[in-house]
Amino acid sequence: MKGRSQWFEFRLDSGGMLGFMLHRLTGIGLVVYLYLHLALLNQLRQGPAAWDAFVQTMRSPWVLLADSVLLFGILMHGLNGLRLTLLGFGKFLRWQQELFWSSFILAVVLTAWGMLAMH
Amino acid sequence: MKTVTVTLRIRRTSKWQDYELHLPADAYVLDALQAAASQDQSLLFRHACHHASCGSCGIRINGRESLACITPLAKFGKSKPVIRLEPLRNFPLIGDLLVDFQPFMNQLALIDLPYARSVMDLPAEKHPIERLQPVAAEGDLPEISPEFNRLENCIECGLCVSACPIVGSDYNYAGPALLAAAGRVAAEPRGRSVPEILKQVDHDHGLWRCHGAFECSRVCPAGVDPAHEIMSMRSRLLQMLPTPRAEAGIK
Repeated sequence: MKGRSQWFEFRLDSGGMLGFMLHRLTGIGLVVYLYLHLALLNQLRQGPAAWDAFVQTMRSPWVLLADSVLLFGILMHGLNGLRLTLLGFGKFLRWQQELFWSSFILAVVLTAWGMLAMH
Repeated sequence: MKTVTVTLRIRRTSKWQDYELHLPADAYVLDALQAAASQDQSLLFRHACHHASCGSCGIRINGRESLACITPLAKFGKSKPVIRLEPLRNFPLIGDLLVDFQPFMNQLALIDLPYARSVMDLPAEKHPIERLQPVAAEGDLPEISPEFNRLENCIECGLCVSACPIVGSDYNYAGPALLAAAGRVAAEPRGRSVPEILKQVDHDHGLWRCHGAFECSRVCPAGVDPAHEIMSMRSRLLQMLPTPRAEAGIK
């Protein structure tokens, strides 16, 4: 693990480094979420009553807040992934900072929109 | 003369140590370091040219890779700032602010980037140093250098290697400086084989290990832009690959 701490260094004035860090954090988060999702879906096997109770829990404001974080993670990872693909092909290299901030703002706006729709 | 009071908080080999210093208001971090060294001669750091040409005085100033010689104290505010100084990361530590550059230099030697070039090879408008040429009469030039030479842009200061978040977690990674040097040679091969140069960096711990944090280009004091070189070489390598149709023998 030596040196991994360098991945999570908060350099607010550097879009490139923030993008790098957010990409890792959201990536790890999405992998954790995938297994959580599968484990929770397992409730379906325990009959309709258990599932209804589970759905009720999922409607609590705290879970909806967690859903918003998830939505932001998906959007940020996806949009930054597109940015990295373009950069990896040598496209728009001069605008990498602007591309990061655009994907960040777009992810925030879409998350806010999603939150309004969910709540 | 206006003076400022600053505290240098220096990462010594095994502890932090503070030095309170009084310096002219227009002094640089390197001046402060030298003032600290006059108080404490055991302090280890490297410096040479004092004008961002030699790349010796690269350190981490408040967590950011910078050349101490071109970082003004005025940048840190007027009210007795505390400035944190640490050695560069991702290099073997010798002591205090001094790191071992030998492995890095050995690696760079593999790419064999010419560090000096004849101005005759370059378009005049791009390289204003050529305007200096008439100042030195031809006879005054040392015999070893028949033409005026210009240093290549990379000053081998290692700031990019310290700023890159990948080098710390993959010690076999070629790193931004070496990859930028390969890119520079590939752009102007002077008789060397471009596919051979690209082959040297086309592997898991070479071009493809970069994950695009772009910190190397941000901290570079010489405008080398290693991230741009890396991504451009990737693009070039992809263009050299046979298409799936060609590989399957379909015309």
